[in-house]
Amino acid sequence: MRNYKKIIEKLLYNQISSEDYQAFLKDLKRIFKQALKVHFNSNIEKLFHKYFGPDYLEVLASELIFKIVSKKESFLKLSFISEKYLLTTAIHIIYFYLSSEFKLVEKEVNLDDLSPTQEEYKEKEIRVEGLLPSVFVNFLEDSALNHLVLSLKEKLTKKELETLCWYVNKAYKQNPKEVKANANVFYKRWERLKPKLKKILGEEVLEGTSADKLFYVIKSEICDKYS
Amino acid sequence: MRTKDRLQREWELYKSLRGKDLKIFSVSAKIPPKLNELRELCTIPPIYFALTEELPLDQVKLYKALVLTEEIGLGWLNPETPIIKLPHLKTLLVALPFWVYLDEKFLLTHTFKRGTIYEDDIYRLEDYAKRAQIPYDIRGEYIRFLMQLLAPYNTESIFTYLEKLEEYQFVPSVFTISDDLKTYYENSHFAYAKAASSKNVHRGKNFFAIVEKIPEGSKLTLYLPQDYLGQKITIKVENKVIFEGPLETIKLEFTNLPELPDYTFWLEAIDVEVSV
Repeated sequence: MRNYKKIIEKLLYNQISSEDYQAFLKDLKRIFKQALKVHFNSNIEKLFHKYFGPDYLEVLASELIFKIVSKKESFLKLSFISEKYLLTTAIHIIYFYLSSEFKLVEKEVNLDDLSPTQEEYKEKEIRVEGLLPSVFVNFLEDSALNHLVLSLKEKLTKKELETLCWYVNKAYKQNPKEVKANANVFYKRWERLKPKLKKILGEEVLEGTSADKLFYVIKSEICDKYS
Repeated sequence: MRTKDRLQREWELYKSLRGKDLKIFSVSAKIPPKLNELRELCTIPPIYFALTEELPLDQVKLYKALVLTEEIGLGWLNPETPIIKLPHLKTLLVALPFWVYLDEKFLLTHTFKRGTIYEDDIYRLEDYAKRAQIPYDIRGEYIRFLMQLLAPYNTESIFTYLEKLEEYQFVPSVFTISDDLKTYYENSHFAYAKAASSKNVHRGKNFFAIVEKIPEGSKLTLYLPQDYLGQKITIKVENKVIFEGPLETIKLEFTNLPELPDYTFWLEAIDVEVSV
């Protein structure tokens, strides 16, 4: 496993050569590409392309360098800096820009300007907010719902999945013609299944505002494929 | 299929980076903590705390610290989840629905000050932490994992774990210490014992105890672990039984306490045992 400790140390002490800097940037661009592909999706990547231009990976890589310098002390404490940690930091930066609607672009990073101290931060006044941009909220909701639906697939029996799909189809006012048993049987099965679903999904999800969205995901990810 | 299970991947990445224990570092510039501050625990990946309450207990200052994270996918529960943006650190945080109690020294030694939260906004964090339920999905698994990681640093871990539960489920069971026992303690060595540093709180190996003054005298509150519920337990203070029986609530209150000049040693003599 590669240790980025040395290169980051050189960066933080301003002893990094231009070649090493470019090589490090290249690594970070690769890490962002991986983060966007594996931990986000192509739509999110397109947003970065749209707002940051074709060099969006370079912009993001510079932001990661900014963050490393801003958190100099924490990075210097580590004896081993794995690619996983850089990947996690890259994911955090992507989250930050999704929440800020891409407004705070730092196009250039001047290492000489980047040595903020705790003193500089200590008087910062911080607001607590509640609203994230809808594109971000949708992404987070979809992630949670997709995970829940996958859990359902794992935890429910074939018969239970069939009952769930009967209910979802009914909820969507579609004619459940294809089901073989009659509605009464399914209704009884559904009543038996409900407590198990509540346990897996939690009461809040099953009866909350995201129920519609959940049913939609169940329909598209389980029922449509199942039938 | 890969893109559909991104929470699982975020969780696995987090676990592989964090390891089983919390490795924390000391910070070089030590800034004393203050109410309403946002502090960052020096660990990888970092954990953030909003200090929403200051509890002066004896000589130690305790802070109620609401926990925040950069792991947005795992920590964001619904559109009500409060968020904090730190543009100067390119950081987005979401509040988690739990809190811990950390002492001044711990915060001074291991956390960076990242700013001060507007006082008017603090209630949003507190309200959410009290109200939001920890889900049973992978996000709940992550939140409970963090709770366990922080438990050893939590000055009153038992107390904290139970405080939130108690609001939903627990009404304390109230007991009165018999007059005979009260007199016994008042005439024992406890009547003369004066600790160098007097305490009205004590964290035992399996309980948390507080003595408070009430108009009728003093009251002892004991918080016991949740897994003791339904089990037969015995509570003694220096070999004298003050309670014996099945545990129905995790919060027990005892009134008619002996009148002692100092409760430090009396609290330290409490022993809670589960009968087999």
